[in-house]
Order: sequence, then structure tokens, then C-alpha cells
Amino acid sequence: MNTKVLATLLVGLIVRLEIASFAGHPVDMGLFTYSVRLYYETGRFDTLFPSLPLVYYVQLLFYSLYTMIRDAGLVDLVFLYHPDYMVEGLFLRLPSILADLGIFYVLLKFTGKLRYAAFYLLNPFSIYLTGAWGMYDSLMMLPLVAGFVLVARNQMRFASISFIISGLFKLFGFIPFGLLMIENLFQKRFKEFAIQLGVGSGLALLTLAPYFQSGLQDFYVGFVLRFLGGSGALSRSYNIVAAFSGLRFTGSSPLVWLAGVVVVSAFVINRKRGSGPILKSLLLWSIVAAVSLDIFSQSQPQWLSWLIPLSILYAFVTKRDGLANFSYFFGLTSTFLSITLLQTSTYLVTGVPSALFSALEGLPDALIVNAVTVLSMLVMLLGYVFLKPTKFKVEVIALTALIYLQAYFWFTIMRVIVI
Amino acid sequence: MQGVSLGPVIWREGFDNASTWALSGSIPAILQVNNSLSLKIVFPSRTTAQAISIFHNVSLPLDQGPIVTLGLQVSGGISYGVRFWGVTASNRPFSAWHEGSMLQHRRGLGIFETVSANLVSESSIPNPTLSLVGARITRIALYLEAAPLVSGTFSMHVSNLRANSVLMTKASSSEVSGNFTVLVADLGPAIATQKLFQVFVGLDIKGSSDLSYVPYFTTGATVAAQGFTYVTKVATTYELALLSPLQVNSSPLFAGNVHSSSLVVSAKTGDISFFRLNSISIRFFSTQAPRSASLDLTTSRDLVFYFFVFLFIIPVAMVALVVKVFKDEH
Repeated sequence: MNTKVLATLLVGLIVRLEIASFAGHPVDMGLFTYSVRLYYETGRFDTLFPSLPLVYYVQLLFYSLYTMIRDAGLVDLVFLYHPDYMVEGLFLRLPSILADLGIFYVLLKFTGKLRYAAFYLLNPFSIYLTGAWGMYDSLMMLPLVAGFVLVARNQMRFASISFIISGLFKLFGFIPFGLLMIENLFQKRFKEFAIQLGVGSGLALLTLAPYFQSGLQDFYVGFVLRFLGGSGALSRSYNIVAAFSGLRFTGSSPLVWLAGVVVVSAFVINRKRGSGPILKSLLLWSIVAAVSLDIFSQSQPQWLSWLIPLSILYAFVTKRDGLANFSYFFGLTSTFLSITLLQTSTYLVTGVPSALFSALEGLPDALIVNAVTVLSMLVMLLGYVFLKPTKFKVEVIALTALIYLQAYFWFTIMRVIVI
Repeated sequence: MQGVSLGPVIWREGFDNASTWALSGSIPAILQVNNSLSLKIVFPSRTTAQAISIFHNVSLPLDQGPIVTLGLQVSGGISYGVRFWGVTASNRPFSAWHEGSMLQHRRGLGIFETVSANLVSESSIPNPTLSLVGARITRIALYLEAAPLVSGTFSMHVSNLRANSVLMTKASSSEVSGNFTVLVADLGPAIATQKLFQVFVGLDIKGSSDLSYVPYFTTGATVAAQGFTYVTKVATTYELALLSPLQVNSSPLFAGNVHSSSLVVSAKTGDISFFRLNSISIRFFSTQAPRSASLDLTTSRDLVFYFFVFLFIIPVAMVALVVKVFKDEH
């Protein structure tokens, strides 16, 4: 293996393992730890697992290795105020860390550019999510990225399966899958459409099998309705609409349906007008869908990470080098915003929130500052995607800093909006 | 399982006799009672906290389970609270308030608010062995308080003060129908909640179109876990509610038995017409993270800097290296 590739890979791996050995999101890691312990300590499958079942299966698989080394006599320790043990937390994050390495490999093979692959693997946001937080978005992104590469190689059936697997980790994977199905319908490839539908339904039913015994009611109400905007819980979202209005939506905001209609209609119009390669349209409208979800839906901070590999792929396909460079800056800034405005710097490290840097953390109406800055970056990203290819300039950093400072001044110092 | 709703009004203050209200405190204030109560006060600038109270005598038998409701408006910048005192059947006095209650040290918002107090709960929490038979609340106090260095003119306006009795509908099964404000499911003897992680409640609920409700898990007089505010859905009447100790920020008006653990579903708006408890899963966690902890500031800072080295400095330096190497190759 090329020395530069190996060095990049090792740095990406080491920083993740190092951070994962002590840091973690206390609530999310607590949820995962509870569910895997429940299975290995009592034999009970946790039908109230807070995410899709495929994530649980993968965690159970890797956790089995941990139970073996515990049985062999390993004494594990709790670090400060974290709910899980140190090695235990590492094993729970191992699948996501390996998925990050997989994404690095797929991007490197597809683009042939170490720089592009490094923009993902060494992006502070992907390190922050898998290494520090313990999020599993990379489990969804690996088959997603692989799916686009398979589309580029015209292996549509495998691409569909890859997108389905991605969607079974996080529902976003079903967006390119759905667009691919719409393409088949419009091209009157009904057999392919039927195969996609059959495989999609079959794999979804297979992963849901353990829920049939206990009834799907809890899964339907606790998960499906939550993401379709039909949940009963009035919970806070991170999007700009909620941040400014103080509204609490039941699951996703109803605006997400409007965004969905716009994305699908635009994709159909785009495909009808030109018969170019499907990959470009698929990537383009998947990026727009991800941006729409970040603006109109619950907009969980980790969802911003989906745009990083998608932007890198789109940058390569359309020769938009500036977009690939921007994706790195996007991740870097998202990490800073998430740590300072949404969590505080000590939260993932010590397990309890505390504002060490009082000028940056624990601010009133920090959610609005975050929403405004994220929105500005999303608009800039769409600019890189839709406008003619341009270089990434240092002015973009200055512009983002100015927007952040303006939002900081008006919403946390002047407090022009009090929610 | 029991459904609880407000019964008829058993007492209402007419605000027609100023002499029934007594002022306490050294700060001059203007008290006006004329169909409503108005208290104006000028807090001078002081380095210590200041307070003023007004008292009123009442006679509210606790065995009727009275619920006191106040409609009031308090200026912003100061705090206020409501306190009660009573006597037992043998005329032994007791305090029916406690620190930590939602009725104490409330922030004045400058807007009209409705505050409710369950006198049985308020009496039982500081006096766990109190017998309700023959006991009654005899005094009510409203107070305004200013933090050190807070000065200026402030006011409190009380337009409504009444007490309602409570109507209870008991059901032996896990479902109940009627017209309720609160539903209480007794889950048996109070359990230790030190390691409580989450409570999942599967429930069927129907009610008025404006119904919104909050589920609570209580042990004794303590709210151990609280859920989000829920609304009814179009798709199904079933709800899987998640309650967490981290979400506790209020308490229900009607709590369960002080010696039991209870599930309390309290309507925030509207009424509940049907409720069925399908399932409840109480989860404990052996290594539960604390809500707050003390850690040396220097240690925290060192750890965060160490974290930032691996999160920002090393990856950014490596990317800079990769970009530079590629440029050289071109």
C-alpha cells in the first residue's frame, strides 16, 4: 500500500480509537449500552432499542467480542461520569469506526484521489461523530457511498441493495433508493421496479422479524411515526424554523413533506429534460434532500455529516474541486458549532456538561446561533453544487465567521428574539 | 387506576374586604382589595435579599382534597411564591409547604398566570405521617422577593383565588372512561430510583381535540421521571411514551399515594375521556451518569485540550500534509 495512504489511514484510525477510549455521549452511549447488556445479560431482545434494528444487530455482533474478553478476565473501568465502561464503549463504536475506514477506501478507489478520501476520514466531524459521540451515521453512509459507486458502474441491482441496506441503518438511505425506483418507473422498466420493491420489502421484513413476536405497535409509534411527522411527542428540533419560532413539532415538521415533494418533482423534471447519466442526478437530488432535512426536519446535528461524502462524490463526478474543499470546512465548522453551542466542550469528555470557555459556550439562545450558521453553510454548499464550479476561497471562512458573529451579537447579546 | 378531575368550587375569595388580608415585612407597600387584589411595592437597592408577604385566613378541610387555583400577574425581575399552613384534628399546627416545590420562588413573568396547588400533596410532603381526617388548611400566604441589588417598583395582581374539591373515579382494571384531568395508576410500593434510567409506557388515550398531556413516574412524593408533552395523533390512539429522570422539570397537580410508585398522566390542556395502560417498562442502569458532578476545573480543561488535539489539530495537520504532497506531485 502507498505510504501516504497508509499514513492517512493510520492517523484516521488512531485519533478515533484514542478519543473513543475515553469520550462518549452519555445519553446515547447509555441507550446503546443498556440494550446490548440487556441481550447478553438476560437473553432479551430489546424491542425498545432507540434506532433501527440493523444497528442493534451490528452492535450485538461486535459486543459479542467484548463479552468474550470480559469472560476471559478483562477488568474494565468507567471513565469519570460516563455510563459505559471504557473498552465496552470502544467495542460499541468499532462498527462505525470500521465503516469510516470503509468509506475512505471506497472514496479512494472511486476517485483515485487521496485528498478526497482524506477529506472524509480526517474530517473532524466524522471523527467527532464516530470516535467521540458514538453515533452510527457512518454505518448508513458506507453502503450509501458504495451504492453510488455501483450506480457509476451501472450495477443497478447491487446499487439498489446497497441503498436498501443503507436505509435500514438510517432512513436517509431510502431516498436515493426511492429516486432510483422513480427512474425505473419513468423509464418503464417495470421488472426492475418490481425487483427493487420485492428486495426492499423482503430485507426490511427480515430485519424486523424479532419485532413480530412482541408486536410492531411500539416500533410503528416510537420510530416510524416519529420520522414521518406523526409522533405524539412535542420535542424540540434543531432546525431554523423551530429555533426562531420556539415551536415544538411532533417528530418532523410538516414542512418536510413539502420539501419531499419539491425534491421528487425536481428529480423527475431533471430526468425528463436530459437523459444524461443517472449518477449525477441521483447525487444532486440526494444532496438537496439531505439539505432539506437539515432545514425542515428534526435536523439532528449528526445529519449534517451525510453531506460530506455526498459532496465529495458530487465534486469528483462534476469536477467541482471547490465543493470537495468546502466539505472539509463544513465538517470542521459543524464540529465547532456542535461542541460549543449544543453540548459544551466537557460533555463528551467528562460525561457532564460544563462551560469551560464562557465566551463560546452556555450562551442564551445558542440554538438560534447554531441554526443561522448552519443554514448559511447549507446555502453556500448549495451554491457550490448548483452554480458554476468555483475554487474554495478563504473568503468563505471569513463570511461564515461574520455570519456566526452577527448571529452571536443579535441573538445572544442583544437577544432580539427571546424564545 | 383512578381518574381524577376538579369538582365543584368549595371556597372562593371575593376580594371585598381589605381587612381580611394582612401585610408582613418592613418594606412600605400599597395593598388594594377591590374585586381583585393589587400589591405595589418599591424595593430599595440593598446587598441582601428582600421580601414581603400578605396573609389570608381560610378554612379548607383536607379530607375534601382541595385544589387551590390562583390567577395572578407578577412583575418581571422579582420572584414570588405561595405558602400554606394548617392544623390537625387535634389543633396541632403544621406547615404545608416545602422548598423545592414548584410553588416556591417562581420567576415573575409580567403576564397573567394560573397557579394550582394540591393541598393534600403540599401538606403530605413535609408531613408524611399527617392524618388528613379532621385536618384543615387555615392560612394562605403570597410573597414577593427580590434578589440582592434588585431595586425598583414592582407589583402583584391577583384576580382569582378559589378552591375546588376533587372527584375521583376508581377502576379495578387497567382502563378507565369518563372525563378526567389526571389519571393515576398505582404501581405498588415505592421503589428506589437512584439507578433509574428510563420508563417506557405503552398507553391508549382519547380525549378532547385540544388534549395535551404529560406523563410522570412518581415514587412517594418525588417525581422520578417525566416525559415530553404529548398530543393525540390522527394515525392511532396508542402512544409509547418515554420518561426520563433527566427530563424532570415540573410535577403533576395530583400525585399518587405517597407510599407508592405511580404513573401519573396529567392533562396540560383539554380533558382525557379514555385511558388504558397497556405496558410499562421500568429500566435501571448499573452505571448511570449523574446529572451534575464536581470535577476540578484544571483537570477538565486539560482533558478537553487533550481531546481537541486528537479531534482538530492532528487531523487538520495531516490533511494539510496530504494536500501539500498532492500539490507537489502535480
